[in-house]
This record gives sequence, structure tokens and C-alpha cells, in this order.
Amino acid sequence: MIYFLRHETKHEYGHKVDVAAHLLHLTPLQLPWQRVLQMHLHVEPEPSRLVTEVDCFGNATTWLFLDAPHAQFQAVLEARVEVAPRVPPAPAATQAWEDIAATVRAGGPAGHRAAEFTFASPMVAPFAAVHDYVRPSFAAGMPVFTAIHALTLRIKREFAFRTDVTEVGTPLAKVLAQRAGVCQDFSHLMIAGLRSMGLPARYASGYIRTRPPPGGKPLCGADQSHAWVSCWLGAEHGWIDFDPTNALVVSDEHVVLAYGRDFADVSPVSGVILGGGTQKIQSGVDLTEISP
Amino acid sequence: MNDSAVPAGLLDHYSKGAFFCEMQDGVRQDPRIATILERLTRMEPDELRRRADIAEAELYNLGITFTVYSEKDAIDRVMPFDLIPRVIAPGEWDLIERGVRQRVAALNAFIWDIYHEQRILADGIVPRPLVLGNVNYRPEMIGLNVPHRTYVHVCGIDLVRDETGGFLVLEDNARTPSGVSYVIENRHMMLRMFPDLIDGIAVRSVGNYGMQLHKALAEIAPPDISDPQVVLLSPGIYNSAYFEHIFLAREMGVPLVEGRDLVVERGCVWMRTTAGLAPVHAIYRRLNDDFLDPAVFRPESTLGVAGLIDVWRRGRVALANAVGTGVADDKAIYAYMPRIIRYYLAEEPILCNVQTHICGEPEGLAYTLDHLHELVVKPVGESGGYGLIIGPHATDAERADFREKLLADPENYISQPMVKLSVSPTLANGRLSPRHVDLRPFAITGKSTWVLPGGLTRVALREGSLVVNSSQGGGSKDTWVLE
Repeated sequence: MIYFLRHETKHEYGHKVDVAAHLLHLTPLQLPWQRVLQMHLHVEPEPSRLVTEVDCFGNATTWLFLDAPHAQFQAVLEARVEVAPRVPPAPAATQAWEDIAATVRAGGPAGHRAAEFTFASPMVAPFAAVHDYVRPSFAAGMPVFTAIHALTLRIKREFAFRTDVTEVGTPLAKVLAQRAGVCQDFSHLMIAGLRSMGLPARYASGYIRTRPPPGGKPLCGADQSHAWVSCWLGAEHGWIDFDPTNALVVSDEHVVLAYGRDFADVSPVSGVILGGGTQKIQSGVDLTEISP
Repeated sequence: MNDSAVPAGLLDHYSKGAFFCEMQDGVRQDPRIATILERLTRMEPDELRRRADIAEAELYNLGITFTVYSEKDAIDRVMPFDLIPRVIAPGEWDLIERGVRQRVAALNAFIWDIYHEQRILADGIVPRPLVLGNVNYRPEMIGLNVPHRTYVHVCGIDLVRDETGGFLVLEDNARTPSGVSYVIENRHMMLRMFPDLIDGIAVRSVGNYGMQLHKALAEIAPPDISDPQVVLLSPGIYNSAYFEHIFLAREMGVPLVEGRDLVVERGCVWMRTTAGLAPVHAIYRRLNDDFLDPAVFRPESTLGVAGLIDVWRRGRVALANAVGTGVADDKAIYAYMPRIIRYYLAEEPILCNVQTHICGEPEGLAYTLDHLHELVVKPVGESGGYGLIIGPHATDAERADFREKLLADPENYISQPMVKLSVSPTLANGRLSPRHVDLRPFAITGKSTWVLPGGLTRVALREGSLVVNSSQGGGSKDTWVLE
């Protein structure tokens, strides 16, 4: 599947901004199942300095420094990305979830890199209520894939997708209590729950196709940045992605920008501005299939 | 110590009890300590008290103060200064100096590994949660290379002495240890107040700390700069150690700046001066990691400089201490320091740890709960003596309360047996009384490590108290290392 991707972010400021530094996570990853065929990142105004590098999680980042006063800032990503379907492991072939937790807990080389994702991170700390919520999905000895898949379906079933009830900083306890939120909330909640079980879980930032395949159901979170959860299912199967917003095991409907511990690690556009007054942020995403 | 060596007078009712006395027992390590003791006991109590009053007034006038954050109305306080010096024999100092060097080398090797290969985690020597789950672990540091592999440029290692006279490490301070200004000011004070006490005794100088610190900062500055501009970055006047920031900037002869004085442009750090922007090559920062760069860490920080970390990453400016060192001076990591020293240096630790039980481990928790009445239990994330309990001195109710806190969050605590901290004669109620002391030597590392011959001796001024932290009513003494 080849997609055309366009992601536009525009900041309009009440007053001119004198100096700004922005950190972008706006370069899709090159992965075994995802190839970036062509890509262009357009930034306005022209930055006085632009630095690209790879962060500690392996994501491509772009640092922009703007020294001249400006009333608006715009970043547009356009790319052609080829995504191959990912075949999930047979559920029964995966280890019991307790074994995965024990592997990362034990120390030693197995699960060494995954272990980092079992700990609290800036926006996702496990707490008692979320542990109580996910616990019923994890029967003793259940294959880890089965358990996580069941949890993914439960979140879809029991939470309402509503864009007007949460913001970036809404505490997870509130999301859990009101049983509503957006993809970022569901992902953070699921990550917190998995970590409370001792399982490594990371945050995936990216996009989901705007229009469903012919005959398919419409997808949630399609005209904005999307988020889902990547889970480590042991050394043999590695990281498998689950989308709790759409009750999907991720195959070829998603394009990945970056993986991190939570949103704070991989926010598409973040930064610091000096001046500016009030600001208005607009963004829009289009992910269109251009050839199967 | 037999009675004939100590003349009557100030020491009349002095009884060191079951503890090691820095003076009376120190005499065995160097006879010059007996000379100092003798000179002291010959002084009139009134004369001593008069000099103590002058010293206190002078400290206040000089502005040598610190801030106690929990007391809203008392912004600045003088750290009480005790006139009676703490004296260390050359042989003892040699051991401390070698031990501190070893410890600093191990800390730097550990931090390098944590932010590169993480071998020590893969080999299972240190449990992952202590590092990866640590609030001071900074993944932003992974893969970043710092000059000479030095992360901890300024290190303060807290030592205590047990009843046998052996030194033990109580704590490592690898972030922004403070207190060195007292060491130097205390010496100035002593030389003015007690020229008669030090006369003819060769005490090692503490005067060149500023020079050594400047030298280390120049060593880590970008190598193509021949005369690097060093600055001291302070969070400002509300910081508890602001006096020290002014003091060290003056000792080094460098500008004292705040975040708003610096700006990142064209890939370099610049300082705003009346003559326009001037380049900055090395920053001794006394600002916590979190606040350094709002673009990378806390976005709401107004104390830092946006883009600073990016410039540092590219080697165009040096930062001391490096970011992310907090992962190594955690009280839980402390328990593993002997193993860390063996792992990286293949040496036995020269300075031992106090025996430590990790409450996050089942055996450690069980032991702590069973022996609460004889242990000191400390939260791992706090410093400054906040939130700890001293089992033998606590009431039953306090212990019961603490037991619940401990059970609710065992991973947050470690416990240690009560160390019978050494005592040193201290002026109290007009005569010399034994008071407990510790010692914080300071080590500066650029290409190599230099240890200040002296260090901060803190003294618990309340009778019987073991808490020497200045925020908990501790004072300080001048520390004399004999040549």
C-alpha cells in the first residue's frame, strides 16, 4: 500500500514572536514494513538554523531555530510512504504474559532494550485504579497477545471517542473515570495499564488512513495526528502495535512517525517561543491511498 | 589519651562517651593535634565566647547565608559556625583523598555506561528499575559524548567516622553539591579570629579551589578555543545557595549570569553584555537539570536557556556538571556503589559504605520492619535530611506511622544501622562539649581529579543529635588537614 501523506501545522500569534526554538518529530520512520519513498518538510518562516538528528529512541528529529520576528509559524510535511501489511503472531504462539513481565524484570540481556518501557514516564505513571481496570483482561497463564488484544477491544467498547472532554494534559485518572477521550488518552491509559502489569509498552505517534478501504468502516482520529500502543511480546515476536481507538491490531492502515515512552517524547511539534501573546493553532492531516 | 596531656579548664567536663573523638583520639594519629588541643584549653571561656560572637556577626555582615525553604518568614539564615576546628592527620587524609578519587572515577564510568551501552544493567549488577525508573534518569543523554568522559565535574562525598575511627561513605552528591564556600570562608574567619591557634602548624591551604574549578572548566571547553569564557549560571537570588554562586564566580573571576542573560544563536551560546553579545564556552551551572533548557526539559522553566542542550550536544559549549548525573547519586544506587566500583575499576573500595538495606527488595524490607527501632530509614529521592526517621530516637507512635508509610511505598526507602558518628569538641554553653560531625570533601574533575584538602565539616549543634544538615539546624567548622 502506498500512501500520500500531508500534515500541516500552523501557529498564529497575537504579537510577533522574537525568538523561537521548535523540536519536530515529523519524519516518518524507516521500518521493515514501512518505507519512505519521498519526503519534504516545508517550514515557514525560513529557520536561521535547522538541525536533524536521531533521538535516543531512534526517531528522526528536526530542531528549528527562528531568530527573526514572525507573526506565524507553519510546518508542512508531505511524503509518499509505502506500508506492507504486518502479520500478527498466532496468539497461542506467544508466551504467557507473566513470562514476559518476568523476562524484563529479571535483568540480563533478554528484553534489555524493552525494559525501559515498563517504567513510569513523564506523562504515564501506573496507578492503582488503572491496574484494577486492566487486571481482568489478564487471566493467569494467558498468552500475552490474547490478553493485550482483549484489553484493546475492551477500551474501544467501554470508552467513548469524544474530542471535547480532554486536553493534552488531562490526568489519566479523569479519563478513566469519565470513560471518554481521544486516541492519545486511550493510548496513555493502555500504556499505564500494561506497565502496571509489568509489561513494556510504548507510545506510537503517526497517522491512520483518512478514508476507510472500500466497504470498510470509517476510522476514528483520521483527520488529525493519531496515536496507538506498541507492545513488546518477547524476543521472538518483538514489538506489535495495537490501536485501542479502533480496536485494531495494526497492519497497513497506519503510518508511524515516532515511538517513545509517551506523547511528551514524540510530540510532532513542540517548542519554546519568546513573545507571541495568545496563539491559535491549526492542524490538518490527510493520508490517502494512491496505489494498493 | 591519658589525663596528664590535657590541662584542666575548658575540657573539664568533656566526655566523648562511646564515640570516636576527632581531637582526643586524633592525637594518636598526629601529635600536633595535642598541641592544638592544649592551646585551646588554655583559653579563657569568656574570650572564646567573645570571639564566637564576633565571628557570627561577621558572617551575617558578609552575607554568608543560606535559605531554609520550609520556613516562609526566614529568608536568610547564617549557618552557625563553630570556632573549634576539626583536625585531620596527613595519613587519614591520604586515605580519604584516594577513596574520593576512586569513587569519582567509578561514578563517571557508571554514568557513561548508563548513557551508552548499559552493560551494567545487561550484566545484572544493578537492577534496571533503579536506573530506568529513576526520576533523574535522562534518556536525552543517551549516546551523548562529554569531554574526557567526565560527567561529575564537581562532586561532594559525605563521609562519617564510626566508633572505631574508620571513615564510611554516607552519600554521594553528583549533581550540584554546595557548601564549598563555607570551607573557604571558614578558613578566612579562623585565620583572623585565631592566629594564635594555628601559629606554627602547617595546615594545607583551601585557597585555590576557584583556580582549580576554572582550570577544570577550561579543560572541558571546546578544544579549539584557546582562552575559553567561563560563566557561572545561577537560578537567582531565591536559591538557597545564592551566596555560594556569587562567591564562586568571584573566586574564579568569571561573570555570574542567569538564564535571561544567555541566548543561543548561530549554534553557540552568547552572553548579553553592554557591548553586545559575547561568546560563552563553559558553564558552571548551579541549576537543576529540569530547568536548564525549556525546549528539552520543563517547558515552563524561565530560568534556563532554550537551545542550550543542542549546543552542548554539538560540543560548542561545556556544561558542568553534565545533565543526568542524578541517576548516580540516588540513595538506592548508593547501596550498589561497592559493586559498581568493583565492576568498572576492578578494585576493592577504599572507602566503605555504611551497611544498607534496600526496602524495595523483600529481604531488605523484612529486615527493616523487624529492626525499625535500631535503624535510620531514609526516602531515596529526598536530600537535606527531609522525611527520614531515626528509629532509636523515635517514639512508638512515630515508628508506627512510619511503618505505614514504608509499607505503602517500600521502593522509596533504604535503611541503615545507626552509625555512631564521631564527635568533635564544640563550643556550647561556655565550654567544650562533644558534638557529632561529618565531612564533605569536594573533588573537581576535568581531565583528572583534584581533591580539595579540607572539606566541609558539619556539626549537629544540639546535644546528642545526629542530623548535621544545615536545613535541620546543623553548623559548620573549619577543617584543618595537616601537611
